[in-house]
Amino acid sequence: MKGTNLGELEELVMLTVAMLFDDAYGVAIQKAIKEKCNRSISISTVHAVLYRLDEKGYVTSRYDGSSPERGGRRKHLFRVTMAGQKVLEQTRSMRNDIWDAIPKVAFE
Amino acid sequence: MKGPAFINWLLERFCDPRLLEGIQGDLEEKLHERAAQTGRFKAKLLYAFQALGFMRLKFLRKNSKSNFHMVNHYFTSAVRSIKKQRVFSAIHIFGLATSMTLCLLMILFYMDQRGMDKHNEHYETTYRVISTEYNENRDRDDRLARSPYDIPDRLKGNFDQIETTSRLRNVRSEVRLQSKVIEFSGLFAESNFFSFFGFELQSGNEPTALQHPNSIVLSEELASKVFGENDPTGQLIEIGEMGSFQVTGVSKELSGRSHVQFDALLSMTSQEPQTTWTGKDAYYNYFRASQVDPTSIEGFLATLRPLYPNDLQAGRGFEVQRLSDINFGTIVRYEIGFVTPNFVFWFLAILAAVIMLSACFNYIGLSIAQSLKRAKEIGIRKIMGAGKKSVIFQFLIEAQVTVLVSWVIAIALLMVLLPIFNDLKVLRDIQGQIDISVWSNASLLLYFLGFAVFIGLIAGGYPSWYVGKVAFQQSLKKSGKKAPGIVLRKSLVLIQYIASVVFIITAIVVSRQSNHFFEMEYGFEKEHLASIEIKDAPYEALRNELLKQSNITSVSLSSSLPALEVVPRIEVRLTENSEPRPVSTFSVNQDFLNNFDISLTMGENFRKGQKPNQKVAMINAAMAQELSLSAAHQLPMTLKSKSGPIKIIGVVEDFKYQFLFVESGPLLLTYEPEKFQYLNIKYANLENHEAEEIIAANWREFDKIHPFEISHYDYEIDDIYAEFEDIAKIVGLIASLAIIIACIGQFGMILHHVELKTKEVGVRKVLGSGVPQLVVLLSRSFYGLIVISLLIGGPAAWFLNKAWTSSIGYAVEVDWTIVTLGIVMVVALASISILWLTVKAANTNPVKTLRYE
Repeated sequence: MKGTNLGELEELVMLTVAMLFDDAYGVAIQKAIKEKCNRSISISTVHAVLYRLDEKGYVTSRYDGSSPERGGRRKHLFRVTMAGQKVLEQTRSMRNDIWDAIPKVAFE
Repeated sequence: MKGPAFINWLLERFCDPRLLEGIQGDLEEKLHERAAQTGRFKAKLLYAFQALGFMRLKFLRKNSKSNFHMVNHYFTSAVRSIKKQRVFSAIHIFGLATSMTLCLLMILFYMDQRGMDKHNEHYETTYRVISTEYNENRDRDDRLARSPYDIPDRLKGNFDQIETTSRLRNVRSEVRLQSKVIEFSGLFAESNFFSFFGFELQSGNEPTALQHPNSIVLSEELASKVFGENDPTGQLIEIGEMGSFQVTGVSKELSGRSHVQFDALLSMTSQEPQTTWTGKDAYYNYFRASQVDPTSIEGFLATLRPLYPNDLQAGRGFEVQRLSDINFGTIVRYEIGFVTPNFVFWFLAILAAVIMLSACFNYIGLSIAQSLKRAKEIGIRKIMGAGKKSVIFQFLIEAQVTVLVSWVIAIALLMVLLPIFNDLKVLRDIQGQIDISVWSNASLLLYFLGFAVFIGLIAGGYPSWYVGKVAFQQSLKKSGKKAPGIVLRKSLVLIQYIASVVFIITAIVVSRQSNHFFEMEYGFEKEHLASIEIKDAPYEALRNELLKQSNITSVSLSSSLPALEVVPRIEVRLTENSEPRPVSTFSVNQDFLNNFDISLTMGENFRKGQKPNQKVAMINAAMAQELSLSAAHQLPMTLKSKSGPIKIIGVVEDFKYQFLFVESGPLLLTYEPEKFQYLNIKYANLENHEAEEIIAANWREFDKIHPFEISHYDYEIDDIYAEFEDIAKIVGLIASLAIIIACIGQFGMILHHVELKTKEVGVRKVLGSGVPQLVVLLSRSFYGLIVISLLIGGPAAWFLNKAWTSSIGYAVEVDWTIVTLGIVMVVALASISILWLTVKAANTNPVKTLRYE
């Protein structure tokens, strides 16, 4: 297992995978990130992040659902694992803790 | 719709099969989406780019990760074997690096020139109307960039497809502001100039800048010369004889090149349209049309020929030239600025390619020869399980490493050579300097790298294939005495020698030609002679004033300077019924013959106070011969010309009246004061600079405006032909490079040959063979090659040099002495390495070579 810390892009991709639930594959994730965050990420980068997450055990994947535009090829679909969910929650609570600890005067 | 097959093949090769389906699916889905938005081609291009994004280790097949280590190993072993064979590697790297430098220089030159006019957004749809005329010998057409003033209007009236037209006209004049006088060469241009030719203004209003009469747009350079730091817009300046002009703008310097080169643009409305168009101030006519067939326009232009009876003789006509054909096209005379004709480019490119190939041949020949030495290594590799492919790959990588090392050296050399190259007089004169910065240009670096890889494949391809195919049993056998690929290696050496012979003979011819120009009899006396350009000065008064000086012996007037310029020609009929033929003309006054020390052989000179416009002329001896004029009583005789009869009153001896590249043939010496441009001053007992002071002092009294400029004849003539000397130097340098590369290649071959025969030589010596016999034995086959190459290269060089010298008016004779000299030089150079190595081998003590037997 590589380090448990999540990179910013990794977190973003994982959240998107969770959002898309059962239809999370390369192109769909790229589009969702473009829509939600207005960030252009190349398709190869999306794939690279997904496989890295797979290696870390935060997502699982399966092949399903072909379409003619894909030349009859199936989609490589991803889903967040329990471990992934846990690490996401951890990251979020860690952030929340820090947010809570910010004294009011800091952001005035 | 699918992505490019090659890209898919790459992906299939590279990517982990477990991931492949998802990757290809995603890419294809995006392809479909893109195709709908931007079109198929762009979408496919994007597909390829995105696919390349997947070429990272993350997606690599698991089993091929071990290949990575293999590649690493190949590099290590390549570096080791290069280090091990120091001499041979040095030979390779030296040859490859020097020849690559030359090729890179050519690539730079090409890249720099190729961009000409590309900044024009209508590059593809802009055309120029040019005219054609017979050349002197009437065997082919010369192309001239100029055409009549009214062509654009006639075209527009007849072709609706023509979107817009534009005219240019040459003008050379001077800018005057207060006490400053600066000469410039400019163009009269129409108001659409900027949009038509893709130029921009730094200040001023583009649509109106050239609309009104007496408007002028200055180039940045001229503006800063005249006004310094001040803003020139709106200022009034005097232009030559044309009155005062208002500066309406300053043009921005182009980042690239254009064939339209100018210091200033004057509004076309400031000049009267000229009906003649064959003089110095010519019109250049352009049109733009996206949907038109140039041949249909040429057809229409052919019907216009009768409209120009005075300037366009029978058999002459018009052509349409694409803007993109102006640079690297066939040669066109009277071009606005400098462009590179295609033959110049091909000449340089072929030179560079021949030398590059020669270096590659060295690599091929020596690697194959060397492969014998490495047979054991290859055999063991094969036994250990290396396939044909991996052996080939190893040798290819070795070649690539060698080439890349040479490439790095070549780029360093290029950096050193570029300023020297740009400083050559020839290049400065034709504005051919390379002004591309190598480092800031990504595509250029890619070209360079691609070039290096390509050379690596050429050099390494055959040797590695050769090594790959040899079976291991054969390579491990001890008897590998016969050197492999002997026929191929010999023919490579042969080709190198042939090229060397051709190069060396050409270099000798070029340098002889350049000497020939220097030592030529001009037929007039060029020492103690100076010329000044008459501008507005009253030349008669100036002449009288100068003649009062005791050291100035004579002063004459002429329309051009003998031996420095090409003079205009007019058509005359030699007899009543003969075809008109072109004859050079030169306008002089009565003092010219005395001044230049040219003697009158028959008849009489012009008289003092000769009436102008009276059509009288003298001719030279060549012309007299054409007219079969042999006795003085035949004079005066009358010739017919377009502008009326010409009375011939005298015959002078032949002299070189024009630039020596063109033959000084039949000549008419006329008396036309309006054409006088130069005042020629002969002085005695004075150094050049003393004469200059005296003349300058007199000049100042008559012309207070123009800067004083004087040219001393002897200097001027040396200077103009020094250019040819520059070319001779370049060809000489390239020739010696070719020969050096061939020689070191041969050196390697002999070294190898001698190494193979070490034992044989030892045995022969023991049995009583003498040194001379052994030297003959060892060097026989090389001399055989040299003889064959001389038999082919000698005649080839002879024909080639005959061909190019025949186009020069005063060419040096390409005779057997030059060919022999070239052959002797090649044989001598080759013999140095052959004899050195073979004599050394023959002298080796057999005890040493046979010690282990």
